[in-house]
Amino acid sequence: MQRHADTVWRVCSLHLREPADRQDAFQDAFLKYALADSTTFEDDEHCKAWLITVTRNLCRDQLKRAARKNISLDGLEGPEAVPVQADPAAQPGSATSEVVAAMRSLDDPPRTPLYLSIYEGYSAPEIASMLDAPVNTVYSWISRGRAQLRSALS
Amino acid sequence: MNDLDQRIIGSFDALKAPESAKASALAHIESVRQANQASEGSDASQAPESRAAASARAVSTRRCPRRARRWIPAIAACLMLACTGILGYNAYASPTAFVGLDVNPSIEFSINRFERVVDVRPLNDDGSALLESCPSLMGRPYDDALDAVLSCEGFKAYAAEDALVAVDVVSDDEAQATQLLTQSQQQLANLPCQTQCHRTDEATRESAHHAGMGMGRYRAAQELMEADSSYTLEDCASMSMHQLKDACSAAHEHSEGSTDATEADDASSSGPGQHRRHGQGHHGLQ
Repeated sequence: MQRHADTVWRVCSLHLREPADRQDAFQDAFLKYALADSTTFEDDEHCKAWLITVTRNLCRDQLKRAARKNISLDGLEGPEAVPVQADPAAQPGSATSEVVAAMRSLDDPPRTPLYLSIYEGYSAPEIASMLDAPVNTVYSWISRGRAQLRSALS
Repeated sequence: MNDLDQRIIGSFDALKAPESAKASALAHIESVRQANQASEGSDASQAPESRAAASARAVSTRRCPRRARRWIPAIAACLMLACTGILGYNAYASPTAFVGLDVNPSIEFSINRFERVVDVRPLNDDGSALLESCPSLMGRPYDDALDAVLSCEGFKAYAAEDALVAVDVVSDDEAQATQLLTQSQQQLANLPCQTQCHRTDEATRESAHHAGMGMGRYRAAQELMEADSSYTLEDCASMSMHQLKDACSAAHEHSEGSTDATEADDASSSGPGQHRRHGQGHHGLQ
């Protein structure tokens, strides 16, 4: 967990706004890892890629469940909301929040391919393998994502 | 790395998993593990029944082996046909070469081993508009598809006399790359504007896509930024090929002018010894 906790947390932050939802997804991702006895990891990078994929899927499932229940994951705002996470490390500065929020405002894809390409440094073929998509499609996603993000931040 | 990338990296670097989240996750995993261990203990008492059920299943399987055996060759043949079909489709659909076209619109063709277009994608908004004005290009021979693009109404507006059209070919297959370059040159020869055809490598293609550009534009941008470091990739992304080429020429002329001025300064500032050496040089070059 120490090696990949930050990575998993970032993927959760990329998709989920509320700290409580991020904590749930974070917890579930490492629970899956702990119970994945049948999965053999070739190396640490393979393990990291697996965790990123699992975390992304968990976040997407969480968002789908909320959408089906018509519960907004942006809800529970306002003074009556109980802050679940008071850890200062989870409260990035405003400039950081602006970029992360802009990334979150993108559709997925291109949100995840853009993040994997720019931040995690994966190549397009590696991203294509992780997301089970054609390489050319990944290139298009990254190109489109950059344009949309630039527009969102301007 | 451009400004946008740096902002993204800086923002996500600041996100760290809170210690409370880690502790909570570890506690939850431990509780699930203990619950699983407790349930495994109760499962052990059911083992004899399971073995009896397994025996019953084994007997039922032995009762009808002949009927199953008749179908095995047929199923195997169907699977082989399906595999052949899938492999054949993959061979057809897999690109073995890429051809980029950059003017102001940027598009990229994916070409298979049979010289057919299996994908065309835009790399900028002008490219999207261009492809929308073209007829379908999928499955066409490459030279036919390129001709269709160069002939369509959407392209004619960009092929003015002062424009520059760049074609870049990427392929590990030497023969295919040569063939695609030749076909591209033949098609571009009919245009009234300046044209360029290049063979490029996969690394450049990947870098270009990473920067959100076509290969021709990326190469021109690299050349311009080397000549004039005040330009950035973002500046170049919005310039046409013609503008990039003009800016590059201007940057080279400026640097040559500076070099000439520097050489002139050196000559004028040289001491008496240098003058005598130059005077001797008149009589014979060394």
